[in-house]
Amino acid sequence: MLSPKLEQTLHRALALANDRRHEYATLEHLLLALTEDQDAITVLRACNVDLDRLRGDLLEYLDGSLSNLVGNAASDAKPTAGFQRVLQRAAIHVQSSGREEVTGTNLLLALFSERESHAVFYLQEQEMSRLDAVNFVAHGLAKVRANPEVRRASRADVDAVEFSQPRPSRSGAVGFTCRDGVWAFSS
Amino acid sequence: MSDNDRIGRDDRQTGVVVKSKPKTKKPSMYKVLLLNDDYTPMEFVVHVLERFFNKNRSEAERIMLHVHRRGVGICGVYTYEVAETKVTQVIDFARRNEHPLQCTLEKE
Repeated sequence: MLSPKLEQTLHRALALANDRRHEYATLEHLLLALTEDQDAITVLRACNVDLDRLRGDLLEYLDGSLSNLVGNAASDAKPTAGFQRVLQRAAIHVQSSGREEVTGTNLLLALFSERESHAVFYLQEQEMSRLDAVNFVAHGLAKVRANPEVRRASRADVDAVEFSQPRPSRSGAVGFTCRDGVWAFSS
Repeated sequence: MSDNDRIGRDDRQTGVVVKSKPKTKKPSMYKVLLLNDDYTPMEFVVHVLERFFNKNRSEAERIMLHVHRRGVGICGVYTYEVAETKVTQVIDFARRNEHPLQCTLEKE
C-alpha cells in the first residue's frame, strides 16, 4: 500500500525523532523527512519552496522548540495523533481515487488539513498553499513566481498571455504556468 | 457654492476598499488541563503526571492538589499536535484503569 520510497521516508521521520530522544514523531519530523523524498521534492519545487530554507526552519524548530519532548525513557518515538491522521487521510484518498500506492506527494497534500501545525506554517510562510500543490499534482500546473520583467511586458501589451507550443509534461498533462495570476501554457 | 454642496461632493468621493490578505499566523501553544472529579484516586493523578508529563513526585503532588482544590490544573504547555496527543493518551490510560479522569486542552 505504501510506496517503498514513502516507507523509507517514514523510517527517516521516526529516526529524526529517535536521534533526538523525542517522545513523539511530529508533523515537523515528517515534513523534514519529506524534504528528502523525491516525490515530495518535485511538488515542493513546483510550488517555489526553497528547500534549504525549509530544512533550516524545521531543524531549528526540532532542536529548539521541542526540547520539552526529550524524554528519559529509552522507548521509541511514537507518532502523534496528527501524524497518524495525515497518514490515514493520504491512504483514504489514494484508496478512494482507485490508486495503488500512497506516495510522499499524497502525504504532503494530507498535511495541509492539520490545524495549528508548525509544519504547515513553514510551508505557508513560503507562500505555498494546498491549492498550489493540488494544481501541480492534478494537472501539472507549476507555480511560477511573478517576475517584475514579465509584469512590465504584459502591462504594455494588453491581455498578453504568452502562449507557446504546449508541451506535454511528464505527468501527461499539458504544462501550464501562472504569471501574474494568469494561467498559461508553458514552453 | 454653499457648504452643503461642498460636503455633498466630498461624500461622493470614491475610495478603494482594501482587503488585506490574512498573514500566516504562528501556531499557538496549548495548555493541557486535568479536571477534578470525586472518583479518580489522588495517587492515580500523581502517577499520570509523572508518567505523561515528566513531573517529579513533588511537582506532581503539587499539581494534583491544585486540581483537587481548584477543580482544574495545568500539566504543561505544548504545541497543538503534542497537547492533543497527550490528552488522548491520558484519557485512554484512565479508561483502561477504569477511572473517569478528564483531560482537556486550552489555547494559551
